[in-house]
Amino acid sequence: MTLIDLLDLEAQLARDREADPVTLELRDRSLLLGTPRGSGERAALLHRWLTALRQREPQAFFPGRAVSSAIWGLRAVLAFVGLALGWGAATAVLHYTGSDPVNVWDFLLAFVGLQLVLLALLVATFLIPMAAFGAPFVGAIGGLFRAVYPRLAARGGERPEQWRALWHRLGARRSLYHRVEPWVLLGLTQTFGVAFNVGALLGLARLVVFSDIAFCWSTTLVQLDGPRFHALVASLAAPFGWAFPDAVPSLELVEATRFSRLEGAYVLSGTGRAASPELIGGWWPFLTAALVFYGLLPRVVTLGLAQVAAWWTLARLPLDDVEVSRVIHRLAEPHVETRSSTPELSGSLPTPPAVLPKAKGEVPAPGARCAIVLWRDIPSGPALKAALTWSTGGGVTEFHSAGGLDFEEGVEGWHDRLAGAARVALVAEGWEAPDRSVRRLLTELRRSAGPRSPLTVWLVDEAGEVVRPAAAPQLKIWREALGRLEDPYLAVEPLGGAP
Amino acid sequence: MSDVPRFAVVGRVNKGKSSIVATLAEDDSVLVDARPGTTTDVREYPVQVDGRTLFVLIDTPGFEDATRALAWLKARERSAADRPALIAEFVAAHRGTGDFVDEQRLLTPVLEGASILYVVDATRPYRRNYEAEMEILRWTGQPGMALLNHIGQADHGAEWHRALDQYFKIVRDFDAFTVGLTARLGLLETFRELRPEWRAPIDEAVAALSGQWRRRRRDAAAEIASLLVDELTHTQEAAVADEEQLDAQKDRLEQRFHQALRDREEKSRHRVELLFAHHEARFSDSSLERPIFHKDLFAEETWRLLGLSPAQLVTASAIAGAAVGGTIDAMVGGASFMTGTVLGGALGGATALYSLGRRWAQATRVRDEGAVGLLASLRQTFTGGPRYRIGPHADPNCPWVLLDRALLHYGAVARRTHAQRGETPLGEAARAGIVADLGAQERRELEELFRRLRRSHEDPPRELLGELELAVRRLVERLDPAPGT
Repeated sequence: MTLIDLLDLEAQLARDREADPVTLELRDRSLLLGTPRGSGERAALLHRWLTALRQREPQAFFPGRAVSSAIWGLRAVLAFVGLALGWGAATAVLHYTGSDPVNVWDFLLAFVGLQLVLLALLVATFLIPMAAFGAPFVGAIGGLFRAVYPRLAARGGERPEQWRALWHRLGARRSLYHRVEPWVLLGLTQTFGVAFNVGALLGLARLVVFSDIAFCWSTTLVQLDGPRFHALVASLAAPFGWAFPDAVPSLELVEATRFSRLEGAYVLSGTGRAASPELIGGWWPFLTAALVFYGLLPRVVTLGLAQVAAWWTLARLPLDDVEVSRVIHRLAEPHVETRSSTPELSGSLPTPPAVLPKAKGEVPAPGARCAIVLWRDIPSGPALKAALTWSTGGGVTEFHSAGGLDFEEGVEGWHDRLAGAARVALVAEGWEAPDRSVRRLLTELRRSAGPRSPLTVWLVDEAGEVVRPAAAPQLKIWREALGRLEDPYLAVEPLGGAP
Repeated sequence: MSDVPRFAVVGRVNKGKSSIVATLAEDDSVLVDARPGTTTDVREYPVQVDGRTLFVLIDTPGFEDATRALAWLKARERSAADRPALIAEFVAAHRGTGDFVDEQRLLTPVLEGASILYVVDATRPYRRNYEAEMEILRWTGQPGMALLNHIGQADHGAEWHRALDQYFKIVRDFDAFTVGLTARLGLLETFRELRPEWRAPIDEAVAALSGQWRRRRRDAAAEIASLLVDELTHTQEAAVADEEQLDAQKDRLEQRFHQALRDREEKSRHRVELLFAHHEARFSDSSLERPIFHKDLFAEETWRLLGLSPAQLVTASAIAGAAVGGTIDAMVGGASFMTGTVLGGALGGATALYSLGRRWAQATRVRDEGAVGLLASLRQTFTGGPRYRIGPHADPNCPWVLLDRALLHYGAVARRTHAQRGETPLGEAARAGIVADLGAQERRELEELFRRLRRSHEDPPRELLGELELAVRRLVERLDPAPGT
């Protein structure tokens, strides 16, 4: 996992947070189509996924590259500033007009002593706490960054809101990545440190090569004589002296360069030519080596450490939190799709026509001859016959059947069979659907019975030993379906049992 | 014949063919309605794993005139060997005539090699005319099985079985409206018996569907854990510029806080519903029946019926406190004579007792101490007034109520089949809550997690989130034991 991938991952997770998981699954599986399931580690899988997403949705907000570029830009600025300051500081400290020589104490305090103190602080407040607790004691740089970020986000081009949201999201999930941030920030500060020391070295080199510098050392302390000062600088030079013997100041050099401001001259060798120029300029190898060893080298090491630690931390992110795991499951596990890929061709439920209005025409007198058609094998037991007799006032004269298993094509001569009937009634069970065949039968019955003859559909719930009228929902369905026949003399009624 | 197994779901109009397809394909876009003629076209539902179609379900329009069709066929019957060809002849003869439209449509996939799933409604009595449909299907020569759907309350299954057993090798009961995952997968496994050569793809589909269910359950547990974390760590802060409007501003802050909790819960529910392919439009139209959890999160009834009882809460808090105190006792090697355990238990119990019954969180003034307080005071001089903060919600029952509601909702969503329209019957979900029945050990562990979560509400450690997710996953798995787990 790289920083770019991590930031893009967070931005993508934020975008996906509200999305339908099925859509996400489809999208992600299509993105990695052809990739073997479960192949590779999580980071590698996520990298492939993010790469595919960036290609597919180039307009989407992927802040990783921008942040990475910003970090590199900031790093370049810090390097430039460090170089300039280092150069300037070296030039200032080594400033020599030809009168008073440059005191090596000043150089050692500014470029060795101060840097050693800063290094000790870094170790005490950052490196040791990071190793022990996973977080630095002092997060001044982080605090500064957090204070500045909202203002930077407000200038986030066309997407200030997205930048702000990313910040909040990273803050909310900081516990997942809190080990990464300090190393990234340390890398920035150490870039400055390295550049500062390089600048100082360049400044020192320029003065040594292109000008003559007279070095000296002096002290008020009586006890700090030449041999003791030599012992001090020799111990400072010890770590690199074995490699660079010329960088270890000799006792002769130390003795020769002790300076007295009271006399305005070197204590032993006086001033001018007598001062042995080959000796009084002889401190530069030691100072250069000290700057490299105590200034530059630690910063290079901490910069390298920060880079490696950031890379290592990013590479070892477990990426097993809830949201990331969800993505991994989507990517690695088989995608199952069961829904139809085509829209429901029926479009929508059939628009119910106006419900069958109350039938027109005169109600036949009780006892008028009534032809009964039993629909689809409805059991014509005594209870049903009694109910029909009661409903027609005793007018039932004949029973016919239709739609049943015993159907025979061409025998429905309804015209002859209904001849003389004052009324025709179809009896059906309400739970049967009023389908195309019943509509076809009713059309034939109408044709045979005449256009104004009362035609009734009686619905029972379930014909058996007891006859119950069809339930209201069944009546409604039948009335809606038969309404399509647009027959004003057709009625759909419930048929109850005889009292 | 296609290599991919195909199953045509056929039967009389309005006998639940589409319900069965909707349930098996988990597709709530299937039109299911009591009115006839809902399905007028053949629609395919391919079951795909990573884009490979393992088998196809085919929803068809229903038989509308089977007896007349059979009469047509019988009038032209030559021999049993010619019957499949005669069916093809029937389809060809009526193509474009406007007659037997639905029969043509439903028979076409069967003639193309699909196996038959013949659906009847076992809550309605058997009638002889159904034999016309079964006879026609038998004439196609394709293997088939019968499914007894249960659309209503009555049961005529026995008489149906007696009839269907004569026509189909396999007859199964299948309630498309209440069936669970195990029964669904069991039905799919039965499909293998229709054609032995289709065993491998069906087995793969069953395995993939089991895996998908486990993933859904895992994701739902993660979602519930995420909900709990968000709700229990949620805080809001606002500066009150005008001291005279202090009360109104505080009220507004409190209302906003509680609304944010409600919104977060609603979002979580929606996502769980989507995980199970229940899409929002369907739910908004038909309103998922939510026995207790459809009530407001902060309704008095919710807090009375869900979560833990006061006694359970005090006990759980006391035990969690005692555990912390016990750790101190252990650290000093028992030199404290169990004082830590006793004090921790007493303190935990007393805290729970003190906080009980606070359904509504209250805004309090932000008063930081020391240097931070000094800085805050300085900031107030610029921001123009004291700052008030609300949250995290302090009531010890709050996480339990949230968890209970989330689990009840999960149960209802997981149980709801995609054939259901309108309200889900209450059934098992009508009981008050789930967490009250947890064991003491489990309650203690969860209580400890909730306490740690609240303590670290500014930046809950990820380990804690993981532990909570695992705990919720255990509950969800118990609530919904998927096959293969």
